[in-house]
Amino acid sequence: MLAPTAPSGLRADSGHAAGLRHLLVVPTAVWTLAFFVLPLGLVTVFSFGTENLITFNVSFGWTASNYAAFGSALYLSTLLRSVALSLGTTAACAFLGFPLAFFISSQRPRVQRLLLAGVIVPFWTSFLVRTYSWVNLLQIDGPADRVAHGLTGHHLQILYSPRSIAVGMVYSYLPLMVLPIYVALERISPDLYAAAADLGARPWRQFRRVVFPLARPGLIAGVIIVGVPAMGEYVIPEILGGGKTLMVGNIIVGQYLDVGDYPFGSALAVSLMVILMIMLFALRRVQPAVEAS
Amino acid sequence: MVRPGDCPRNGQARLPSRRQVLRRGAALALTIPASAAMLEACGNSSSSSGSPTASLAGTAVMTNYPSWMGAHVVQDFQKLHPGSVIKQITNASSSISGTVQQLKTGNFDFGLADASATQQAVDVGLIEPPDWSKVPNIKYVAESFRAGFPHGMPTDYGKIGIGYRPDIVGEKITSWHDVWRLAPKFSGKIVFIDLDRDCMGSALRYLGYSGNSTVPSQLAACKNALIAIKPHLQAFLSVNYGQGLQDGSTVIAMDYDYDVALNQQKQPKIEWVFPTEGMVAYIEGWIALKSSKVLPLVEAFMNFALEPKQYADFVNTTGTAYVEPVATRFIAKSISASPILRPGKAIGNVEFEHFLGSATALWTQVWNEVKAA
Amino acid sequence: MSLRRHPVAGALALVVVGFLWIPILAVAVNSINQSSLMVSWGGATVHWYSLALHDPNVRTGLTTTIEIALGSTLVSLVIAVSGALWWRRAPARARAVYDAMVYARIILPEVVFATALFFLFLKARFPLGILAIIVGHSVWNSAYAAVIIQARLVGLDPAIEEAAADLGATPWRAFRRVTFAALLPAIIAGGLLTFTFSFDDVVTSYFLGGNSATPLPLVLFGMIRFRITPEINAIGVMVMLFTVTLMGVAVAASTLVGSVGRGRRDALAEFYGQ
Repeated sequence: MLAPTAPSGLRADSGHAAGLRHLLVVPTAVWTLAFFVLPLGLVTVFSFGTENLITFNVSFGWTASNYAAFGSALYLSTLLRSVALSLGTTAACAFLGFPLAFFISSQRPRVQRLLLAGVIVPFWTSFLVRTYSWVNLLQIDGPADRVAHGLTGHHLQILYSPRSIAVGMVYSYLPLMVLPIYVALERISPDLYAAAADLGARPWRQFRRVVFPLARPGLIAGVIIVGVPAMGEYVIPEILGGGKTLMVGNIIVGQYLDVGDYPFGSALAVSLMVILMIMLFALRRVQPAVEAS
Repeated sequence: MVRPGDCPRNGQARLPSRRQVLRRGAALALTIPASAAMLEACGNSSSSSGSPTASLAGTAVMTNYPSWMGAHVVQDFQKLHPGSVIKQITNASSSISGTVQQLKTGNFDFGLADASATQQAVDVGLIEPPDWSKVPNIKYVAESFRAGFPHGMPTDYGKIGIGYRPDIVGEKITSWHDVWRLAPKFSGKIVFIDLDRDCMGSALRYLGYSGNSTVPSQLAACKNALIAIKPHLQAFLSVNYGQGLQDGSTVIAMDYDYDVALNQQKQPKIEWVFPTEGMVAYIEGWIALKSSKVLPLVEAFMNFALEPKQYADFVNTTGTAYVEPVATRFIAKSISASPILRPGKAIGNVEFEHFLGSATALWTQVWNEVKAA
Repeated sequence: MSLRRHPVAGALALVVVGFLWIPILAVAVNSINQSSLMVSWGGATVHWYSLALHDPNVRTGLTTTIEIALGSTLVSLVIAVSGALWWRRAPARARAVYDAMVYARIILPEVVFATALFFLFLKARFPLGILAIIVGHSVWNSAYAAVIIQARLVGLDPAIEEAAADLGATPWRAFRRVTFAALLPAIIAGGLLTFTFSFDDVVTSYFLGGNSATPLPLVLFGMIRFRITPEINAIGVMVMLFTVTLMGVAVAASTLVGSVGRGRRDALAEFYGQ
């Protein structure tokens, strides 16, 4: 997806076309500079400052003390916990989402639209409504428990535990994995499958040699838009996990909103950002270059 | 955003209880560039409900909890003073600093806040008490509450105690010590409140310290006590705390008085405890921003809301423990006769929460450590 | 056996879709549940819907949220599509910077971003409200859309567009019939995602809404604070139905665009000489 090398086969632009092409980046550039780079700069500057916690006045002082605190056992262990949550969620979403995306892409366009709607429409109720619905479903003596009890005689002690967090996370992030993979798979012409079958490839081989490589950019896109936000996730663990776990998101939001310690919260955010940027750029290197179809 | 994450998509504001929101919520902020012009809504705030003073035209913007207002209070006031508008904006921030920054913009004239947030706002120079001569109905508020909330108009308070099912527990609970003692026996059926001030405050009382303590060693002991009981907790809840008491899925709950009272109505077997070590309580009320251009309107509205009938409307709508004894005759029996909400002498030892100052960061640190354990 | 009729994937797919709908069904059932605790069934009632419909906060919250979601989707797609098109012919260094900015917008915790943007808007005296929220949302939404669109773009052979140009199509026509048509699924997917993100957003909306814009999530936030009642569920169902209807209208309009999609298949077919 994000290939570091220029695509092969593109002819050089004529001067006129090149000029127009540069215009294409203007919206991104303007928006990013004005509304992102500036705030990010402010955050970075905050991270080197200190603050009066009563008045919330930040004094800019160029101290690195905010970063030093990040090395404490509390923050490192919390970071690990968030990483684990993110990895687990991403893996589960990939395993469940890939077959779904594949299946959708293999259907007729009308059925595709219907299935896609089936995937995204649930998320047009509000997040809070959905998440508390899970609390209701998973609680002791709730519907899930009654079904399990009826079937097995045992009670389903799932709410307010890591398992209920897992259910909530996978539930909330699944569309983010399904959509990019679907988009990547959708462009596979049916003729391609037919051609591969004609050449004698069995289904698994078709999958490995044809489907998976073409789906890969979509899968990587899905991994990014699931994995990164899942790192910062703390609301679902709070609601479905019974508030018994501490995630990186809790700490950062806590510093920003509860204590109002912007310098410290900013240092945490910047540190997190550096770590994730390094990881994403590493992922980027692993990308295949653009392939001709 | 679908992604719940920190604010879904990296961070949805985490769900605070309304207590949390208020606690942090109204810390009013830093100096707003004070602007001189007051509306001609002149200050004839004759507090009596009688004469409509046409000079109170204008809009007062209030940051408030949804529905934390008498069902008819605003309409009645607006009818009485044509041209006046009380606009309520939902306070969706769980944070002092968030609200502080919001208030910096000068968007609000008054709002609901608890004692801690209020004190911070005072320290920062954002608010000052209204001119009480313009709010004579303040005389109806009992003295103890005025003492707990001196910078504004108290509206309600809530105690954090224990709700439990004696029929399941098999014995009488009378103290926080009982809760900690019985925890292993009822492991997984105990619920605490997911708010540092109320939860840690209660744990501090359990240990015999002040619920507003800022002493590091006491806070460390508090942390250890909470970590010790944590394995037996079902959850730290931020809403519907005592609901599980109804069907017994929760056996013991650290809970607010109004919540236990409500659940008790549905399940009479639930009982409330005033722990012998004492309790912490929040107290909240309305505070007025110094920079407001419609202070006379705000004062008039405050005065109106304190009239016994109007105040009773508020109490009946919210079901909260209340601060105005004379309103009792207008208040529903389920509230006014409840030994939970109006315990009289049985209230025992209650300590109102107040501003922790710079120790807030220390409390947050301890709370993080409890949550991380 | 044709790969497309793979029964295992199909079965798993339907189970997963079912899983996605389970809480929604619970929401729907609870929205008419007389028992306000929703632990068990208390009989049917429309009381909660009546409450929700009569609540002015809910109505304005919904319209505000839809405005914001549509506005931010539009802006985000413009940014993401134009940027991606530039990106595919950009030199490697420039691409690295662009990618870094995309990643950074996804990585930066929203509370941090929203607070910083809030401070900047105050300083610049930019008015807070719906417009400010749209600006804020589109900063990170455009990054998500960019990731999806770029993934699609990677697999696009630029030779096709050039071939179309060789065959006499004007650059604009080549773009529209080949590239844009090929990108369309990604654009739609990106749009759906950004719409959904904006729809549910709380933090940015809170900071940038000032005292005039209270989108639905904030309203619900405030309501849940006190107690969770079936009214919340009624609101959830209403909101979902309303939005689906809105999208249905959009889909009807998109059948017009569908003809462009067919054009793409034609172009491909031509290219493969079928």
